[in-house]
Amino acid sequence: MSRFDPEAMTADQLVDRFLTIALAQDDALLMNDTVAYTRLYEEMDAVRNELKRRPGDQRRGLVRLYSHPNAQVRLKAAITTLAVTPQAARHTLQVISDRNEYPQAADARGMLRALHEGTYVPS
Amino acid sequence: MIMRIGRARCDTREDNPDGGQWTSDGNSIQSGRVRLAGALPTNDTPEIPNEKPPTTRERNRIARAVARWMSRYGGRIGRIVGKAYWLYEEYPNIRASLDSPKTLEELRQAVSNPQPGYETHHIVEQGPARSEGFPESLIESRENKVLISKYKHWDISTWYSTPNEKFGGASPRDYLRGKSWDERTRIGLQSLVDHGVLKP
Repeated sequence: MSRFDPEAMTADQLVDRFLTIALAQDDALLMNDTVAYTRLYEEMDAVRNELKRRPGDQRRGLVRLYSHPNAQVRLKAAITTLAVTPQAARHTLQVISDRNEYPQAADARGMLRALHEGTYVPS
Repeated sequence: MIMRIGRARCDTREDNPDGGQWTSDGNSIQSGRVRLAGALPTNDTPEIPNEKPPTTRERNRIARAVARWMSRYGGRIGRIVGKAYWLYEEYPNIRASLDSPKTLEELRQAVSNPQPGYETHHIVEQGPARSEGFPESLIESRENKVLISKYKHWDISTWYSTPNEKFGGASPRDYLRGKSWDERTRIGLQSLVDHGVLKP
């Protein structure tokens, strides 16, 4: 994946980038490539932070990814939008869990439990 | 040749608790691959080459993709393996990954009777525990070992070593550095539940 400058991208471009990164993360998980996954996680963080700091909190643009066929895309979109669309984001996590979409179902369950227990507070 | 395992008469687990049944669509044979089709999602279904991939890495990737797909939609494993003969080698691993969650005692007892497709998993990760000075009597104790699906074992190992929002962007392994045995056990058991290995 080429280097990118989040500040120079439109919100739509950032959402597209988010999608590309999530799909690459899914491949990395399938290959047990933890080095690649970690790099992609950091890149996704850069996209998330850029969307968040824009006027109106542009993370809500990720909501359109809730219906993506890939579970990693839905998982990451839901986690990233917990602060801006909490009910819909939680529902998306619940669906991943209920469908046993492993390994994402494991993260969805862990996040739902953390939200319930208050050990994770979305911001 | 693409063999499409169709959804026309295939039920998801939601529809059919028994896991449904794949039916082949004889009209969709197109090229040297078997594609598994599903109602939702549809475009992350694995493609299975009829010829055995040359590398272990690629074979594992495909077999794990099949196992994931089956965990979501069910179906008869023999139907798929029967169309890509090399996948028979992965059959024990795929089948094991589809196990229903078991009790902790069942998982512990199974350690003494290992089977193909399964690996011994340490509830508290052995490497970090050893490097932080926990005694072998704890690390290798009967209480700390369970027999789980090889693919689930890989998933959990990857989960431990990759960043996670729930841990503030740290990996669970990093989060647990310096933590007590009890906290490591708590996280270890939770991960087994979350990955569908251990009954809640």
